This record gives sequence, structure tokens and C-alpha cells, in this order.
Amino acid sequence: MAELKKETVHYLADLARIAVVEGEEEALLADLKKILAYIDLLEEVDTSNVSPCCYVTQSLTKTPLRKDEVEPSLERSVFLKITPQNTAGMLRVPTVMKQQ
Amino acid sequence: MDSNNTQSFCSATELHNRFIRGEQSAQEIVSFYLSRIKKYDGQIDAFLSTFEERAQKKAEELDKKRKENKPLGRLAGVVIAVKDNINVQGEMTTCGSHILEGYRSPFNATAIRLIEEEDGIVIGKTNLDEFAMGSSTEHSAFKTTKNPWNLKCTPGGSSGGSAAAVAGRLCPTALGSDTGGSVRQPGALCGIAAFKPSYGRISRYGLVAYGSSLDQIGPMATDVEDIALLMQVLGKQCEKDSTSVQKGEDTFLENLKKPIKGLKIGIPWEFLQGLHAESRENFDKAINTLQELGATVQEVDLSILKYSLPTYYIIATAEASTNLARFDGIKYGRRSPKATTLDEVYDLSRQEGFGAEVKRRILLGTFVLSSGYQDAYYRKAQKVRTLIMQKYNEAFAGCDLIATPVTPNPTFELGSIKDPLQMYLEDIYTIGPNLAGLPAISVPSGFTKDNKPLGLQLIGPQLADSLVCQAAYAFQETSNHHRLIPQAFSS
Repeated sequence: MAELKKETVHYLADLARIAVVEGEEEALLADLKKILAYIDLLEEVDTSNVSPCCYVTQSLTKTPLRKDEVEPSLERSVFLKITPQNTAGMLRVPTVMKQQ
Repeated sequence: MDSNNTQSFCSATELHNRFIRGEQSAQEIVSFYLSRIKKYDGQIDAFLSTFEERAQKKAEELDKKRKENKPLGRLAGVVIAVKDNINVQGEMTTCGSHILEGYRSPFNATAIRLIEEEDGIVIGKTNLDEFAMGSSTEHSAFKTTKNPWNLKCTPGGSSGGSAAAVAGRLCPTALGSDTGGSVRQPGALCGIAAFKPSYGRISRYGLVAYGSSLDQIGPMATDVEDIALLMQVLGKQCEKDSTSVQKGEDTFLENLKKPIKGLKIGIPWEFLQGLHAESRENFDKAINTLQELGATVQEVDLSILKYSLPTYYIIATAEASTNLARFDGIKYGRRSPKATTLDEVYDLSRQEGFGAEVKRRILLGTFVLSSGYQDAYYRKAQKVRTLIMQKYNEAFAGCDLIATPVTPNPTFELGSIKDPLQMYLEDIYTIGPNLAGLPAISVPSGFTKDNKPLGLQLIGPQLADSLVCQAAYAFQETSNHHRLIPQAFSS
């Protein structure tokens, strides 16, 4: 059904924020084309008047709500231990906004 | 067939009893399994990390507790390995991926908290396909686990490490996770019992999400009685998981050994065409066994399951593309040393950190959710999912359980399946219960002529978890398949 091109691979990679290096696109394109061709099997199924399943246990449980109370969260010291880079008690990232 | 001394390798239930009776200390039990891991895991490669100190410390505390006559939990004396996509506080959680380098869990999964509250001892983390995406454990970024029954073959996946650890008797029980068959398929390929509960029955809090509407943590053990014991402990509602169902019946142990005379079992014969010849023979024999136990057998129409694989690969990958967006090199895990801008932190960390199969699935998921294609693919798959659930409901109107083989083939040689689509087809019988949220178990049903294990799958309606375990136990007790130990690891 869908026509996949090399540009599509780059477009998807952009959306998914994954860099695609040279040499990877051919293989990715070939695999995706093959899988999509198989998935097109679903076109055979008559789904007119069928509602989409959004929640498999819809009939069994109501979405629970919790009390609107503040509870302890992750401690900063614990969080900082797992950050790739931190400084002065804060998570450090490259510049988000360029200087004027 | 290999027959072995079974005394050293008792079930978790028996271990617990021995501990309570004072016949064995927790320290002896832990030492026993740690030494087996040291001796044999170099060949099997089931573990990514072992918790020697942690386990020995817990064992000491437990022995002290027993000496002081303090109350002991239901898992006292039981050692359990945990798939490395489940958070254990203070320990590394890798999900079999480079992208989580340096990530030490700051919290416990609910399943781990429940195990430790009942005095269970977590002995280590097991290998898996990266982010639980795979059917052979060949997609781990770190190592390839081997099947203890044949070291040239796969243990299955994605919970291959857990399955191999239990089959090789490196631990009596393990936790895996099942999104499309990742507990049941390795269970079958390794000749052990493996259970995927009804969706929502075990809390997903602390399980790294792959396909959130499909994932369930699943217990794995050599004996169905241990599955029931673990379900008794783990099958609790959790306020940290909003998809956790209101408590189902707590009758796993109470009903486990009741006979199954009169049980009606449905078989989707039409859907089972194309089964490997020995698998078919084994399945027919298993059905006869169920009939000898007093169950009756009838045909059910589940031809819709022809569409289960494409439905799964749209929904699971769509959900995965969203769930794995959090691995971005910012707050935790590996940040690319080459990144100089914010965008590069995302793009390069993810490009370097994720393996090929994960990238494939994220891109596929991104595609089926993308503008212009969402209706044709994602929405369509959701509708087919509704139909699949309806067909199962119709089938269960006339029977109590459904039986199928677990896999179309027994275990296969590592490296023999390179085509991703061919690998996906290994999940053909296990995917349906994930799509419909149904409880399903794999129980050992015999071996092929070249000594490869085979498994029978029993599936129940939503929340019939206890009945599924009961039927599996009855079936298990008709043979000694589950007591056999791979020759190489029998001493």
C-alpha cells in the first residue's frame, strides 16, 4: 500500500530522532519494505462498523484516580547519580537557546 | 532422553518447605545456586549480572529471622532471577542495550518489592533481546544466551536468559516479560513452565515498557506449582500501575491440584496448519492426554488469528516508538560523547545506543503513526484487535480453555534466522493472548527425536489465570518431562 523510498527512511529517522548513518539506509529500507508488504495483509479484513480497541481491559476496570495529595518523589541526590552530566545540583545539557 | 538425579534440583515450593522445616539454611541455598552460576554460566551466558553480596546478605538475614522465630514470607528460601528490563533498586538495569550504560535503578519494580516482602531472594539479572524485542535473545547488545539442551541453539526470546537459567538449574525460578510471547516461547524452547498472566494482573510498575497495552511480567519455573506460588505473591493490584486490574480471584494454590474432568478445551485446528511434523505429533499426543484426564475437546474458529501477527507488529512497534522516546541521552543512560548540540544529544545517543532490531521497530512504529498513515495502519490494527478479542470471546462461550502448541518449530540454531520477518513468524501462536489480554501458559509436553523441548499452550478467558494454572498442573503431572535436566548441567 504505502510506497517507501530512501527519503521516507530519513523522514522517519528525523521524527524518531535517530541519526541514520551511511550504509544503514539501504538495509533499513529493504527491511521496512518487506515488513510493510506483509502487514498489508490487514487490508483483507472488513473493519467497517468496528470500533478500535483502545484499552484491552476496558470492561474490567475503571481508570483509578488517586487522592490529590503531595507525596515524596525521587530525591535529587538519587537522581543526580544517574545523570550523564550534572553541575551545581542540576542536570547539564548543551545550549538550548542560542545567544543573540 | 536424559534422566537425572532430581534431589538436588527441587522446585521452589520444595525449597521453601525445606527452609521452613530447617532442613536447609538460606545461606546454603544461595551458595548452591551461586556456585552453579559460577560453574556453568560461562557456557550458558544466561546472566548479565549476579548479586552475590546482596543475595548472601538477604540469606543471612533470613536465617537469623528463622532462628528468632519471626514470621517468614511465602517465598522464604526461594531464589529468583530477574529479566534485565525489570528495575531492582541499586542494581544496573541494561535492558540488553548500550543506551542504558551507567543506569543504576533508583527504585524497585512492584514485582520486586512484593518478592522481597515475602522473603524471596533476587540472585541476578538475566539476558534478553534488547528492550524485549526479539525471539531468540540474539539481539542483546552484550552476549548471546545458549539453550542448555543444545548449546548451538537459541533459548528463544526475548526472556531467553531467564528461561536458560531455570532450565540449566542455575536458579529455580525467574521473572520474564511477555509482549508477544517472550515468556512462553523461551519457556517452551527450554522445556520449562512459563506463564503470561491476564493483562493487568501483575503490576507493570518498574518493568521497562515496550508495548504498554501488551506487556506483562511472567513467572518462569520448572514446576507449575511454583508458577502458582509466584502468582499468589505477584498477582496484586498496584496503585502505581493504572492498568492494573481490580484483584482477580486469589485461588492459584487453592485450586491448583483439583482435577480437570469435564473441562472443555477448544482447538483452532484450521489455524494450526503448517506446524512442524514432530510438533504436530506432540500436540496431538498432548490433546489425547488432556482427554485421558477427563477433558473434552472441540473445534473453535480462530481463523482471524491469521491477522494477529501484522496487527501485533503495528500496535507493538507504534507503542514502542513512543515508549523508547524517553531514551534520549538527557536524564540517564548513555549520552554520545560526539554530541555538541542538543539535537545531536538525541540523534547520536540514540543512533549509537540502539541496536538494529530496536531501530527497525522504532522506525516502523513511527511510520504507522505518522500523518497520512495512522488511519490505514494504526487505527486499522486497533479495529482488527477488537475483532480478535470478539472471536476469542465467541470461542470461550463454548469452552473453558483453548489449547495450541506454543511455537511452530522447536529451538533452532543460533544465527540461522537472519530475516526479521521470518523471526517474527516464530511468534504466530503466542501473539493472540497478548492482543486480547488473556492468560496463557506454556507447559513442557515432550521432546523431538533430537532432544529439543516442546511446549503445550493453554489459554483462558480474561482473569481465568487460576484455571489455566490448574489445567497446566494436571497436564504436567501426567509425565516427568518437567523433571528432566539437560545432561551437560545435571551434576
